[in-house]
Amino acid sequence: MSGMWGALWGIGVTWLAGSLLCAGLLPFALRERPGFASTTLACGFLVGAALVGAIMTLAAGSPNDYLWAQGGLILASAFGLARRPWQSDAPGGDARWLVITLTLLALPTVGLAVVEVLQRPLLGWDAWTVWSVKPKTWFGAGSGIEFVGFPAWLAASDPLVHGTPAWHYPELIGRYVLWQARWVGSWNEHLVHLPWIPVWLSLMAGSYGLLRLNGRSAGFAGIVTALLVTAPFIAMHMVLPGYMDLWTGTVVLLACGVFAVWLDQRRAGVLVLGLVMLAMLIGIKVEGLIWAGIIGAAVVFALPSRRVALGGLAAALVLATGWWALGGIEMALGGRPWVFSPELIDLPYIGRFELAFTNRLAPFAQALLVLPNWHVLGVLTGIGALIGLASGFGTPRYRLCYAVLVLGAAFLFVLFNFTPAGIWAENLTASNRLTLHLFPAAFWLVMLHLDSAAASGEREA
Amino acid sequence: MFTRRELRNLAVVATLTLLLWFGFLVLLVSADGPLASPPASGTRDCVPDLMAAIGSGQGGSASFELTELDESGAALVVCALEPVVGAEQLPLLRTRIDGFPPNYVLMVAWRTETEQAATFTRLQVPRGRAQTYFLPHAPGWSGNVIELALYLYPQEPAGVPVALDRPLSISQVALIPDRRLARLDALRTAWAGADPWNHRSLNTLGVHLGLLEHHRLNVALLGLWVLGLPGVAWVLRGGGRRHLLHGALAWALMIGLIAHVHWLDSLAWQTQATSRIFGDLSASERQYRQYDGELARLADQVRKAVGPESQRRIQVGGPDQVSRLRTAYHLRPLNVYPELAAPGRLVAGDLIVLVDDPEGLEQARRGWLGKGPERHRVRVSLESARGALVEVLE
Repeated sequence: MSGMWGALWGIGVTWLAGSLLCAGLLPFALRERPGFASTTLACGFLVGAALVGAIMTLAAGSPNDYLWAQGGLILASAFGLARRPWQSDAPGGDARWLVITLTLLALPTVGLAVVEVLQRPLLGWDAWTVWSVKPKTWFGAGSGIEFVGFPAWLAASDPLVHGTPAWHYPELIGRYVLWQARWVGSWNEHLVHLPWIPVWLSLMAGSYGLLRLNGRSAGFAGIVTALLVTAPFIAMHMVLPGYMDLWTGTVVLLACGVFAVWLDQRRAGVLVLGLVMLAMLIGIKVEGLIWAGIIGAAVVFALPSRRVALGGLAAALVLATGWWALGGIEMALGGRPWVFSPELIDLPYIGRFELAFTNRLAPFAQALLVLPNWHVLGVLTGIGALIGLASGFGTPRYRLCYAVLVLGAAFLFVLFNFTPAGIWAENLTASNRLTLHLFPAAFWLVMLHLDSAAASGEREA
Repeated sequence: MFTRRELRNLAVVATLTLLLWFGFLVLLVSADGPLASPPASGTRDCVPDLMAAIGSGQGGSASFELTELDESGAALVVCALEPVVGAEQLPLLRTRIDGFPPNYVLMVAWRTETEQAATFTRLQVPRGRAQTYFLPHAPGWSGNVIELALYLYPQEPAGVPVALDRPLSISQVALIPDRRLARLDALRTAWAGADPWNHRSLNTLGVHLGLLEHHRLNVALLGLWVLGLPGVAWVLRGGGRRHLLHGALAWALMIGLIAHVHWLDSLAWQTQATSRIFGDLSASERQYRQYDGELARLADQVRKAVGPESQRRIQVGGPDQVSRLRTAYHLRPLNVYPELAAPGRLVAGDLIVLVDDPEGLEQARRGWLGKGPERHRVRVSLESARGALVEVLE
């Protein structure tokens, strides 16, 4: 099997096995709830890809690495099949036609995107400078190749040591691209980058399915999802394969949605799926560690009773004030300094950032509200977040939503207004892509909270 | 799930949205105002002027193809304006150019009755798409314009005219009188821009139509729209926060879907252009038709010279980072790094690919790289249009 059939096989078995695995992880109690199948399909492709990437990493150097990964997928499928049959998500009544209409509207988008990806050579800067460099090399020169920076490369004598400026970037999805290339049978830039299409589809299925699992109506879930996936900045990333930002944004949204279900249901399987999502974030991009930390902190904040949460918030504010007053924390661990102060952040994996305020709010506001990236979603999310502040304070969903919003916005604010990364905010390249990590989840969480609060308000009335 | 009544309300909201949307556009088009003042001249097709200036007899009256450029870069269009256009009458310039050479920039230049020296402004050229420029946005656009020209200029610092790898096709150069319909057309072509991710969205609508000069006001108005119509749904439903929210979402969805159709139109254009450029080639051949096809060919030559299985390390040097990175990407899976070690750190046997580096290549041809005591003796193994493979001898 090779060429297009190989590419479809690589994606298909990933998706199927991942979906079966997720269905197996999720508890029986959720099986009858609408949104179950969409959620498992959405998480399925991403979890499957992460599983393949992880096994390919462990089997690096073996010419049969993809067969090991195939074995892993078979085991995952067996686990899922042994635990759970499927349940249709098709909504009944009039809402069915709304959802069908919205789905049909998505089809030409996917169709055109597929045609574009299948014909245009790799375009995005990061795609060919960073993310595709390693899989292309692994495919051509052996999957055991190790990458280092320039000085280490100059000093190395081992021919299996290659060099790239982005040598330290995570490799999980790169290994998955290698898996695709193995099935395609050649380094065909178009076919190995086809998985960016199912990521967009996963975002669509995940947004819809998780709103349903969280108790929202089919019509509401369909409209929110359609608004989300047709936002230009999300849709265009489907035709910009090679970037990791659509993967990151999708997993951030899925993680938030899965934890929202968990906060309501408190089932172990849902928690495991949520933790898998957080682990995936770390494996996809360096920034994923920050997003995983933010979501983790938000879940911890949403978990206890309102009183304990308020106490925790007060304690966190006291600690932050103390940290500021003391000038930060500095220690030596593992033979290197760890610095986290108002003037300098120097942490392993994250990197070193000297902090000094430079006002770059204007380009940021432009990217979100004025420029053609998000249509009306920036306005809608901002206004919705302000309106939602007034109601439902005690609910876990409220705390999850606003903790993710506040912490995420604070991270982007510090990154682009206090670090040299601010130059990316001015030219609107990386600032837009970092926003893509947070914004889909922010919009989705605000909508979930608003509808939940409005529904509970009506019940009370 | 929506009830039948909620869906009926949704349909009412959707209908009102569409009516208001198109009503807004109709109002814009028919409204009197400073923008609707009669133009001094009608739409002017400059392609005949262009053909006369170039001396080309090719093509019909609507388009022609150019296959060569002179060494200085060419003045492509000379569009004499008669009667004279007053700059305050805000003409729009529309062009469509395919096969734009990568190392060139497109400039628009004009002379006025009082200022004989030409004023130049660079234009952004979308690939294979019609683009309408608002000349009033160009600095210095004032007075009575007597001549307008488009120029292709070699881009600094490359400076060297590059042969066209495919014909440069100019199918539209036109001056359009400023009317609201023309602005709507300009807005549509801007939406359907060459890169779907650079298209205009609804939140820049007012600015494009000349109604609003500032984005913030535009965004505020849009926010009122988003919040305003749901009020209708709210009243229809007899109140309720949830219906207000659903009304807002239905309203936003209508706007979003209209915008998405434009986006799809844009993507369809993009895909057509992609098919035209790459569709007849195999996956492995497409890289040669990209903007850096010569670098891909250079990489092929290097791979052939050192052997496809070679484990020798190759450093890529040159002043331009993009050229270095692209060449390194094309060279993989060879063991390559897109940087060159400092002089003195090279060792005998090292391979270097110099890209877009005429100075370095000239030095290498003379047998040396570097200066003073840190220079190395080298040999040029192969050369191509944009690069060379150099071997360090000692």
